[in-house]
Amino acid sequence: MSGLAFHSPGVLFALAVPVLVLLFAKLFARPERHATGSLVLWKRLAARAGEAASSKRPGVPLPLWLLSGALAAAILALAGPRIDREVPGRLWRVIVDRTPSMYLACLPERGSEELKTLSPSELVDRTLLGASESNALLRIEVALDAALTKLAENWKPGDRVRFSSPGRNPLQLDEPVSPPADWLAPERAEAAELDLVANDTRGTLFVTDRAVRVESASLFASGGEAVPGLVGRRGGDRLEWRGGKELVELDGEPRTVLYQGMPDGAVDSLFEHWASDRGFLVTNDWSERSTPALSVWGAWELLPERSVVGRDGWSLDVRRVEGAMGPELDFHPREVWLEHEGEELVYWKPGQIVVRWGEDFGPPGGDPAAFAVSWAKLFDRAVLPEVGAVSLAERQSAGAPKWILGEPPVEPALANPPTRLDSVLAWVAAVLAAAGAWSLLGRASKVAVRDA
Amino acid sequence: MEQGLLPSPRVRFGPDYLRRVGGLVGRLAGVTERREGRGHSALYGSGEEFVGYRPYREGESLAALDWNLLARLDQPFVRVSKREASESWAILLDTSASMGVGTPGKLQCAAEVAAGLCAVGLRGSATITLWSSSDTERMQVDRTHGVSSAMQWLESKQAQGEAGLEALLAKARLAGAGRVFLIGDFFDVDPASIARIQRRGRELVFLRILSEDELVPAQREAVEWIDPESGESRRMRVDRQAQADYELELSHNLEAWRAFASRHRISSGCWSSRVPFEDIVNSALAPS
Repeated sequence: MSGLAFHSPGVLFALAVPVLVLLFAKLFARPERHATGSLVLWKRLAARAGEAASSKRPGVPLPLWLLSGALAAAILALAGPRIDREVPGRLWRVIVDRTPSMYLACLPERGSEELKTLSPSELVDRTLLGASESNALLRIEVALDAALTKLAENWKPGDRVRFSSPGRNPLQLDEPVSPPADWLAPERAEAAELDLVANDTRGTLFVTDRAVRVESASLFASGGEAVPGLVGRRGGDRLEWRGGKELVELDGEPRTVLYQGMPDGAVDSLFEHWASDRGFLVTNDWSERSTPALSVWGAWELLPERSVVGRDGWSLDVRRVEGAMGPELDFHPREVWLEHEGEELVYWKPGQIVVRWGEDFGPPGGDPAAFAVSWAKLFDRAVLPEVGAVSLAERQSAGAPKWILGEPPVEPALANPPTRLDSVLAWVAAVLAAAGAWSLLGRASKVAVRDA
Repeated sequence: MEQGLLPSPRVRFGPDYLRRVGGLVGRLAGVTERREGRGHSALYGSGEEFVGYRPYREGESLAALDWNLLARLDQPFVRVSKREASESWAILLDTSASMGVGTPGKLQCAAEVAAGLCAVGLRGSATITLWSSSDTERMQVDRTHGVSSAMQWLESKQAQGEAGLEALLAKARLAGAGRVFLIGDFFDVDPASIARIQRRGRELVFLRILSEDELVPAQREAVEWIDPESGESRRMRVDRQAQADYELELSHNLEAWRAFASRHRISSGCWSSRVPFEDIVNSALAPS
């Protein structure tokens, strides 16, 4: 906390002294008395001026004001005033796992400690076995709620909490409350796993579903039974996991991928092959209503310059373009996949790839297989998972819930020592005393001159 | 009257006073004679009794020339008045408590002027009588006793009591005095009392001495003005406005006395107690 504080606040009572001095000076101030032979003239003036002018009580003389001010400043200096810098609160870090399994319903594994304490009906309520899916309590909610409850219990004034999650900008809050729903919302693409080792530090809270070993951090693992369901596609067919080793292939509409603005060339050909292999229909008909599993955007504005670009052991002679095309020309965040002379030529985010060259003049140099693998990996990474599809690994049981309260954050040290004001006030006192003395001397010399 | 309120109640002549008086007398040598001319002085008014002409002396003011005689005789002559004053002067000194006001005190200044007048008068063979308002004694100053005796007498005086010039005018015996000097602050003087002492052939000279604070009061947040004679007081704030009002009031008072003096052909003037006595004596006696 910042503010004015005193080393010896008791000394401040002495401030009454200069106040009393001024008060008494005002109360008992008497006018200067001067003998005069011309009182008759003053009497006439007083009669005309009225009572107000003649009965005025003299004010406190300036030297007394200055000297009282000096005394007050000296007393304040003796009290040892200082301005304390604001002490920054502790910083808690909550790292939220937003992998797809976190958005599965939370079904405590049979045999867990928590399960033993629940009656069958409570278990049904708790695990939402009887509830509709829209009311399901998700693993992320269970784990986050537990983390926030513990955080609130250990919260101190001035503390802050910073939420972070792969694919999300960090969010810092001054209260132990949940981040907004859109921040917690799942990604269309698979979110990256948490880096637990690097973040296993004091004051860190992991919000996840699978219990992991932690040294210093706190762990809030929701746990959860296996959740059967859609796990992906095989060609055009939907793959559904029924539990155990049972995988069922179901017929379904093939998903589409968009390839727009790219002329014929090596990349174009490869994309066709990749889509066919993965069971996608390739289209160049874009509309806002449909969301392809992957959109690859080229550009129209061709430039005369050509460049040889490449990575992963292949190279390609391409014609440069100006600008880009697509519904989002310059999206962020994005991952740059190919850069040439400081210019981002291929970048992507889940569901979209932008290729900023207009023509490629094949065949690609280097290993043709390297070219195919390199691009296929990019397409695979960028393609959006099917809605509702969660990988088989994610659908497996997350085990029992586990709450481990680790060490709190390190108490922050004061960034700056408090600012001491006593020397400043001592100077103020000295200046005021000097001014008071000077004023006093001035008055004395004036009187002396008048009397001389 | 409480002790210490009057800053300068006593008279003390400085060690160089006699030297200064000597210089003054030298400068004013023949002034009594010259004043036998047309009788003009730096002060207001004049008084004269014609007795004849004498030849013009080199260096004299041309104003003293009788131009008619010059035209007729083609010789410069000066008109000479025979003044009774050349034989007998009276100096009336206000020694009331209010004369102790100011630094230097008004009484100090008045005493220095009085002694200076004595010195000049003695040089002109005048017989001088000094009167003090605070007592009934008077001091006869003549060549035998000299200025020193006048100074000694003056140093015995103290600003005290209520009796000022008004009281002195009532008790002073001025018969035979051709020139009467009244020295004081004149705040207590009734002009009618002046009229009573006017005689044909007698020259009256008012020398009004005021302190700096009485002439131009300094601005003060609050001041209690006290009359040292009556003990009366009045509390005032002396701001710029009050200062201006006071100066206006004083100027009315001074103007009233100037008009009175002018009407009765009385020489008069007003000085600060800080003005050197030589200047006052010179103004009182020297022709313009």
